Amino acid sequence: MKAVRLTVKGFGPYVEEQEVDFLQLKDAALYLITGPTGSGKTTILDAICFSLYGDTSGGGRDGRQMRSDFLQPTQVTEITFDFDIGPDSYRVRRTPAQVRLRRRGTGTTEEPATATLWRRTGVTDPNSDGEVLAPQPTTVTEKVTELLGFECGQFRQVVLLPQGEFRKFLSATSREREQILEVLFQTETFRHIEEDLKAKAKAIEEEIQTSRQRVGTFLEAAQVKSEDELCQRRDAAHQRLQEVDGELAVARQAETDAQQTLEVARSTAEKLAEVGAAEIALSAVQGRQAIVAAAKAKAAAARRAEQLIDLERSVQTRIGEHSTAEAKSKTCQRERLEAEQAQSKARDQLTAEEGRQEERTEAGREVQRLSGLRERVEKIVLAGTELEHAEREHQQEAAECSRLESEVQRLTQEVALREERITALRTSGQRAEFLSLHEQKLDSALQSRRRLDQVNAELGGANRRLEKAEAAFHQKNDTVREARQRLEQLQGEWIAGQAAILASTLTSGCPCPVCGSTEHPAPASSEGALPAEQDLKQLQVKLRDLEAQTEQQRKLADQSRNDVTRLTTEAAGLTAQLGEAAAMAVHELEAQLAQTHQQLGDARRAVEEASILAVAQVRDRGTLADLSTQMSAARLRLQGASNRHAAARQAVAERQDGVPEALRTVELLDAAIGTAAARLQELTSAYEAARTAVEESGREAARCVAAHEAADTATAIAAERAREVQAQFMTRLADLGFSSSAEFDAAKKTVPQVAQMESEVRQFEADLAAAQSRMELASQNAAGLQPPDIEAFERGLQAAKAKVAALVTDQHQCSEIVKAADRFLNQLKEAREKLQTLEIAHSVYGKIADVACGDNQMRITFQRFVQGTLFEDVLQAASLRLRKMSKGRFELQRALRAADGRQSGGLDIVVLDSHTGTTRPVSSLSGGEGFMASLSLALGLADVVQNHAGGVRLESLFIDEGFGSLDAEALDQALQVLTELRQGGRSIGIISHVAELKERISTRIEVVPQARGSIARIVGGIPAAAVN
Amino acid sequence: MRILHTADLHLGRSLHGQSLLEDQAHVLDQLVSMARAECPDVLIVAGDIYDRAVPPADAVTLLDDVIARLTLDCKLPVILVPGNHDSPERLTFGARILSTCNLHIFSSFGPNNVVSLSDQHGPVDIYSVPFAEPPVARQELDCPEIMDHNSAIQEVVRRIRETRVAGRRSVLLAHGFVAGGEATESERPLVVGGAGAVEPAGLAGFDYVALGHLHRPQTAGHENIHYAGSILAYSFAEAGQVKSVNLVEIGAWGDCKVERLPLRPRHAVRCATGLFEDLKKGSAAGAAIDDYLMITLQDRGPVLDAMGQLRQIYPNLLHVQRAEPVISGEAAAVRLDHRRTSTDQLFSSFFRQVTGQDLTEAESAAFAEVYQQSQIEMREAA
Repeated sequence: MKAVRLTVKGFGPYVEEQEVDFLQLKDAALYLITGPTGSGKTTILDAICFSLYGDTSGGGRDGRQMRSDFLQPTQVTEITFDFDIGPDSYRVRRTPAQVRLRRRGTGTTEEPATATLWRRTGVTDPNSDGEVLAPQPTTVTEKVTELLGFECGQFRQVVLLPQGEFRKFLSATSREREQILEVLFQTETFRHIEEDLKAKAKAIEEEIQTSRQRVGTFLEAAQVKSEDELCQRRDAAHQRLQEVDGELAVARQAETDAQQTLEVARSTAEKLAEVGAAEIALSAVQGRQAIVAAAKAKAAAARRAEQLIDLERSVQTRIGEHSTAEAKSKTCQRERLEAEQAQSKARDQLTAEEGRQEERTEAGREVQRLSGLRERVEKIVLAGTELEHAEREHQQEAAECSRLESEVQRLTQEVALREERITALRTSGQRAEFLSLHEQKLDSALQSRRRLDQVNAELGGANRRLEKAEAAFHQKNDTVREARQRLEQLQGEWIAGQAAILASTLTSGCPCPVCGSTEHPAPASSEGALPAEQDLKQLQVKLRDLEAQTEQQRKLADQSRNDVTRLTTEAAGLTAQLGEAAAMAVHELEAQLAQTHQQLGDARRAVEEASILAVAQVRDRGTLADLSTQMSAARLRLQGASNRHAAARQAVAERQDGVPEALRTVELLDAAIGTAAARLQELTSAYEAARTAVEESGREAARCVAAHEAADTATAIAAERAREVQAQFMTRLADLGFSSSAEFDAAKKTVPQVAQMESEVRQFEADLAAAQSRMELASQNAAGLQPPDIEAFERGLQAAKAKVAALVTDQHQCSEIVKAADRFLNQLKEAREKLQTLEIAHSVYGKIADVACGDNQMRITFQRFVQGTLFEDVLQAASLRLRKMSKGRFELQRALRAADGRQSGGLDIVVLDSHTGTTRPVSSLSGGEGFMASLSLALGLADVVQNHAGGVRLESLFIDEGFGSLDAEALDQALQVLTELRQGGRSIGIISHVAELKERISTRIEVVPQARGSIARIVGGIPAAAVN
Repeated sequence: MRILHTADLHLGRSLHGQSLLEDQAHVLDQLVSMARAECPDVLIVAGDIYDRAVPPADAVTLLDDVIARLTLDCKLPVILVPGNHDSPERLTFGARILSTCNLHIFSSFGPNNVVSLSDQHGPVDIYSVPFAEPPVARQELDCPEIMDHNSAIQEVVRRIRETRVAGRRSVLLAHGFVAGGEATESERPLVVGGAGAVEPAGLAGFDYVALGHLHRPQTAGHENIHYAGSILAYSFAEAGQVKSVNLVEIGAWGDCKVERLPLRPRHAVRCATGLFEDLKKGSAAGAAIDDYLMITLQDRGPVLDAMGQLRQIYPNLLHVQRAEPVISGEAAAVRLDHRRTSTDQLFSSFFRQVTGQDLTEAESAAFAEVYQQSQIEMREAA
């Protein structure tokens, strides 16, 4: 089985349709299916398993549960899997049972699982499905099992090693392995052989039983206890039989004798009886004689009558002729009378017609007159048509005139109205100028007003600043003054102090440093403390600072004052400008401005409209002029038409003058002419008819007379002839001996009647002769015979017969007994022989059946033995690989001894560890070692299966996890082993998250989780376009 | 121009569970001494630097140490290319920066990986072709016809030939399997059944072709196509090989003289065979009892706990096996194929095996009859 393409929709984490094209991976020996945990890697294998068998790979998730939870209720879960088996391609599509929304109406419906299998050998178009092989889930699974060679459980152990379950095959019991191997290697023949052997042995046993029973039945049927008794009985019967045979022969002879005597007696009796009979017959015949004679006479008379028949007939014909002739004569007479009557009538008619001559001429004249009128009438008609024409014309012209008039009127009205409108519009337009000026003015006023507001506001601010500045200034000024005072004070003190110091140095007599006087009357004395020079200086500095600040403040105040003045002047100016507008609020001004603007717009539009209307006006005026000219022309035409009309009328009146009204049209005239002509015709033809009638009737009358006379003559002739013949007949009658015709009639007989009578006569004569001869014979035979005694002879015969019969019955009985006894003896012998053979056969079959079914020392059945050899091959192939993977340490071998004496074994596996040199059970392998062993086993199994002729093909293999349990070296080895499989044309898909594998295997199917569900994409394979 | 050519370091590899890192360090020390002694102009390493795509940390440390000693202490330019065991992206970390220090590591698969050196006769171009899987090569060269390694390398070499200057001496450094080479069991197979091996003719036009991948030092396909071989024996199939490093001298006209400088491992890899009792006496190894050994037991009967007991004598015993007949390739010929043998024969051999007796004539006749009947029934049922 080689995977080709898998399409998954709505299954597990794959919401949208996801296609995995395995052909892109066909160049890679190994490909990796990788992705984060839970992204949907195992789901791919589940999908493959599900599509083939309706069951997922782990067995833990069922089809229903796999339906993606991300799906809308309208979306359907569906899996399509294309695969090849050898040269054939197949496709299977399966949907699990799912609940989905109804397409019509509301609510959900449970849709059952569906599946279809197609064969697609030779189909290249990926959308066409091919030939359907199985249309429903159960049949599809069956067919897939047949094609692949595996059931689902086996598939999961050989082709698809599921996560955590790869050890199943490794640790299965012999029985389970037997089942798998049976399917794989098709060893069911051997199982059948086992069963057949068993059945055969059992059948033989049963037969033995039945045979034994049969022997018993025979003995019962023969009513003997044993065979010997039967023999005795038989011999006795045989003897008796022989005796009876002898007696029977004698009795038979006696019987024959008695028979003979009886015969003789019987014949004598017969002969005597015959004589009597012959006598009776003769007298009977003689009795008939008289009748016969009478018949004879009749016959003769009839013969005579025959001769007259012809004559009689001719007589009758003649009489007939006579009567017909008479009848004819009568008819002729009648006709004649009629004809004469007709003739006279015709003559009368003719005279009548001649009397009407006047009328005829009159009619002719009328016709002529009317024809003459024809021309005039035609002229009248012509004039009439012309009149009609003129009338129509007149009417048309009148209509045209009135239309034009109304049109002119309408237009004039329109023009007048429009003129008014134009003037109105123009007046309103004139205001436009004025309005625009007004608008401008208002605009500027508004601006000024706004500015005024602004200025006022600023002014308020400036005033406030000024106040503040001045206040500050005054404050500062005060502070300066204070400081100055202090300074002066301090200076004074200092000077005083200096003075005091100086004064202190004063000594009388020394000149004062200040004034030079030598007397010092009042030296200054220090009072209080002497301020330090430092303090003085400080204060001076401070004073200077304060003065500076004051100056600054004064400047500020001045500035503010300037601002105030400026703003006030501006405000005054604006107020003056605005005049009374100053009093109005801004919004009032704005309203006015808007209004003015609107009015201006209106005025401008009015101007435009006026100009448009003016244009229209001009146009209409032009039209009006046209119409007037047209109207005058129309009027002229009207006049002409009415003139013509009058003229025509005149003409018509003239023409009509000479012609009566009833004839004023051509048709009427023609009609009148016609009637007149018809009348003329009528009259002429009547006259003609009368004339011909007369002629004809004359002819007819003549003819009838002639006929009548002829008929009379004919009648006379006929009567004569009849009389002649009659006379002839009568003469003849007398000649032949008939006295009267009545006698003749009586004598007449038909020919058959005559013949019959004659034959009767003949018969009688013959009978008579016969009877007489019989009589003679009988008399001769019975001469000299006596009547015998029959009864006695008969009695003797009966007795003899009875004896014979009794002996015969006896004989029968004896022979019956003998036969029956013989039969039973034979049967018994047969049965005994058969029983013997059966027992021999039973021993043989029983033994081989038992051995084949496992009842032997090693407790191995035949099938398992055969499978065992195959299994050994499998283990050998597996060991090759395992040795490689485990660096030569482990090998798989088959356990020949059953582990348990009761359980049947034969297919158990043990592991040979070369480090210890002994075997150990498979369950003792570690996780990683177990994985390597299972993998080798699966590969070995696949190898052996493929090498079998007609075996199952395993070209794809899937391994779900397990590599994580291997260390780096073991992983290396395992991958090497798997890579070598490429040679066999196999490709292996591995699901693993081991990082090393991701590095080493470049061809991958990456499963990437998305916001809803996952997608799978192929990396590093052949690009999709190059696959084909 | 003197070139030191080695390959297949496989740092971090273990042999039958025994880590070889210390042995690799020992041998690489010798390489550094050789570099000091011979003063080559460049060292080229033809792939498989590490043993795994994500190498163990101490392998990385070892490589770092060795390269540092070579480039910084010996001032020797080094050129590395990744092989099929390496992860190219990880190996070439910092390649652009490192190339300023004369350590060139190339990972892109194209004709532009060239290092030009000069000697007294003129320039020598060394072209490096890292290893790439066919899909990657397809993508990098934008050439969808590349289906295997052979076509990939042919294409790259063709492009190199287009770009290079005629008349200059040139060397090709690559990693792959050339037809005519002999593999051992320790290489990871690139080539299955001989398909995809590189044609030697495609590698013509270079004065020296320095290859890596095959672990035995050899020439393959042509006399100037050389495999340097691995620096250690990495499998028991290589036991007894002398591992070496190539010292190549390229003359003025491109003529090459190749000298193999041997490497001495710390522990040799050897195979020994014999009977268990003899081996227990230590006869296998003689003096070198520490060598990495694989012992093949000739005994017919089972030997219990062979590994355990022998390990006490040979501390570095890595593997014990029994003498087996050689079975090659895939599944061997099937014995007693149940289709080729007739059912009667099968049954008689089965009978003999399970009861120890032969079938009597009556029994075999009985079996034949039942079997025939069974066949007829099966045919009718089919």
